[in-house]
Amino acid sequence: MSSSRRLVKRMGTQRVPLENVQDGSSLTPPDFAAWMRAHYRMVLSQSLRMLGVMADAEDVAQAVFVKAWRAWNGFEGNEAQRRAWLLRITRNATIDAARKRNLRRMMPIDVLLEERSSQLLSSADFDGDAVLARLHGAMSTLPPKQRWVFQARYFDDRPYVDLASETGTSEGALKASYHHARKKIEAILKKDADALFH
Amino acid sequence: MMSQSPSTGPNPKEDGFRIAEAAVDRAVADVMSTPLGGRMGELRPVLSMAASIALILGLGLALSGVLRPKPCVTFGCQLEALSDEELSGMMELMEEESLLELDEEDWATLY
Repeated sequence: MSSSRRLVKRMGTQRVPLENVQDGSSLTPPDFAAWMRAHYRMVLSQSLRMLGVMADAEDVAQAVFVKAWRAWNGFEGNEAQRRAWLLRITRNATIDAARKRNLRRMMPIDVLLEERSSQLLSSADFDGDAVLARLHGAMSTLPPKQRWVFQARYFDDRPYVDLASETGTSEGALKASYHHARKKIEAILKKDADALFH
Repeated sequence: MMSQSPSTGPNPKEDGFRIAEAAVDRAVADVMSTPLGGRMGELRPVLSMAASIALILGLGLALSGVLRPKPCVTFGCQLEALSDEELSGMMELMEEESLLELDEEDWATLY
């Protein structure tokens, strides 16, 4: 057994660290505030790309970290497992929120695209250009699961192997999902460009 | 770049969103002010669900007891349960019996 494996022993319900190891495989829970600080932007940016509205994204991020905070002392696993768990609950929470949002707001794609783009461009939390706003607008027309794969691949360039282990889906299915999402976005943006230049 | 996160791959792209440091601080403070609740906190949702199920079952049983019709065994109850036709038929029978001029003692041997 490696030295980093036997880091804690149980004394009743208390975990007692036997040594301090900084290699990321420690089973000793780190300080929650520091851990949340290190991961908050990742969670919030995924939520923002999925929902597009800061207030909604902050609600989702808060719900995710409250869940993590409550499970903090009982979590069995190392830092990599803790991060994988955080990513999984973030994915589930953002997809759920995006589904609810879609149900509330059924509207034609071009109206959604227009509304979403102009909403972003007038938002204080967004300083991208019109093209980027249009891209987010086009993303918002995708079904939530496809949208999640697209944002994880396109913006974060995350490897399929990581996404597959996080979602329990095959790499092939994720590649197909990304391909479909990309084609849809290309079609929307092309139509947009055609309308603009003709 | 908006966020350099542990989940990003080798070529992350700009997404245009900005997250202020103050927003991160506020979020950390908000989450950490949430009561942990300990073991009882974890059990609370389960306990409240169990209590709700018990309440629903109890109400169901109580209502089924109230709604179940009591058996009609007394003469008064059976009389009330008769329809108009049955009652008039019974009255006719009683009139016929009176025509027979049966005495009270004869009732015991009538049936």
